[in-house]
Amino acid sequence: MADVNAVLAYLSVIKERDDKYIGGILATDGYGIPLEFKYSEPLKPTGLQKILYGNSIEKFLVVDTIGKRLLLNLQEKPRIILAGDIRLLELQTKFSMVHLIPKTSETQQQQGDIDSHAFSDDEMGAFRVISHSPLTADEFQLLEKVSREMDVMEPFSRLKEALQYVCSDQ
Amino acid sequence: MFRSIKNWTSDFIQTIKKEIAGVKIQGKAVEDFSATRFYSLDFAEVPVLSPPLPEEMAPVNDGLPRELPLEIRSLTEQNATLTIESAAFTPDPLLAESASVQHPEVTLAHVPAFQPDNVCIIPLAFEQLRSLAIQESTVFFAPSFSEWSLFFRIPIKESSALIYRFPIRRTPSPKSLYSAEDIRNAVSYILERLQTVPHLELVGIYRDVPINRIRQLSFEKGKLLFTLLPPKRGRDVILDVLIVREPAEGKYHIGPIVRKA
Repeated sequence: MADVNAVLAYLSVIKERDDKYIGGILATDGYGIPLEFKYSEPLKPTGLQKILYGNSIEKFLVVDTIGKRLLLNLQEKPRIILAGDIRLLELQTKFSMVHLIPKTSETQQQQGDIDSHAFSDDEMGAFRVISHSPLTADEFQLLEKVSREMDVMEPFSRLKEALQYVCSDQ
Repeated sequence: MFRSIKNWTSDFIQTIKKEIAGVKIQGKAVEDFSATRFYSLDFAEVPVLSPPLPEEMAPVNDGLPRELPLEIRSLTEQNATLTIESAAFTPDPLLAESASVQHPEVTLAHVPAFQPDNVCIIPLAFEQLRSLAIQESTVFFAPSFSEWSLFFRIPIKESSALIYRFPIRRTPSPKSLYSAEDIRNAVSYILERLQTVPHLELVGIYRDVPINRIRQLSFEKGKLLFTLLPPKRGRDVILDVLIVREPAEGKYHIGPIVRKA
């Protein structure tokens, strides 16, 4: 069995069709059972804000605004945060944060997009583990153990469904 | 003596009479004040000299005249009768060509003749004027700036109930991970609770299912989907489960697998 006390957090920010940005963070135990769920209200930048921020608006919203706020509001203390977007790894946080990329033919093509100087790139089973700083041995072992027990990416699908529901509801 | 005095007196009187008789009064007698005549001087020929400065003044005994001669050459008679005549103002074409008022381009020719027919009475739109005044005060005295928020305000919400709506998915685990005894015990658990021994199909073995919190359970392409009840006091009972299906009735049966560490 996985470590029941182990807490993972899944952080994701999505962009809906009508330019709405919404983010959420789902803290789970080692079985993927929810412990805490927080989400931002859907945010649609104005035309003026788009002009003023230019191309950087998406990164600013995803990382500096929504992602940062979600991490600040998280009450659980996750041992590892799994980021749904590689840009979220730029968040300054005391927690270890990784981005998992399944080893498929499509994702192999993304290898060139990842700056090898800025990120640590490890392999764990069927995943590539991208992080700013390499995980400690304990953290890496925990991640391996959880990924054996369950589909480690599965909570992301729940998180996305919940965020889409919030967006459609408002 | 008295005769000589008498002669002198009569002579004196006669002399006075003669003198009085020679006096002629020219002009009319002042009978009507309105007939008073005024005389104006014609100063056209009078030279006007500016007085010299004191230091330039010649000595008194320089022989030059100190007073200017004033000669009255002619007198022009003017009638002081005041007459008021009314006439429509029309620009004098000669005057209009020559006269100008400050700006050389603006002449009296540009001034239209005043005619009562040209007067247009324009009704004052007080409401419009009032609104104009408000607009002026808004623009010039109280400019309002649109508040464009450059930064984003992100309210963060929390909802455990929301995330419980969406099912947790479990992929089936291979049977090779379990011993034959574990599987047999799970199947025995199911058969003990059935009255008959029906034909059963194995759906799959799923790991880490919180069996005491399942609200709803379903399957999708071999995956187990389950939603959860709110957390209860105490710890969740998490077990691996073996799930079989009864094709005749379409029922699913769950048997727990106690994994040996």
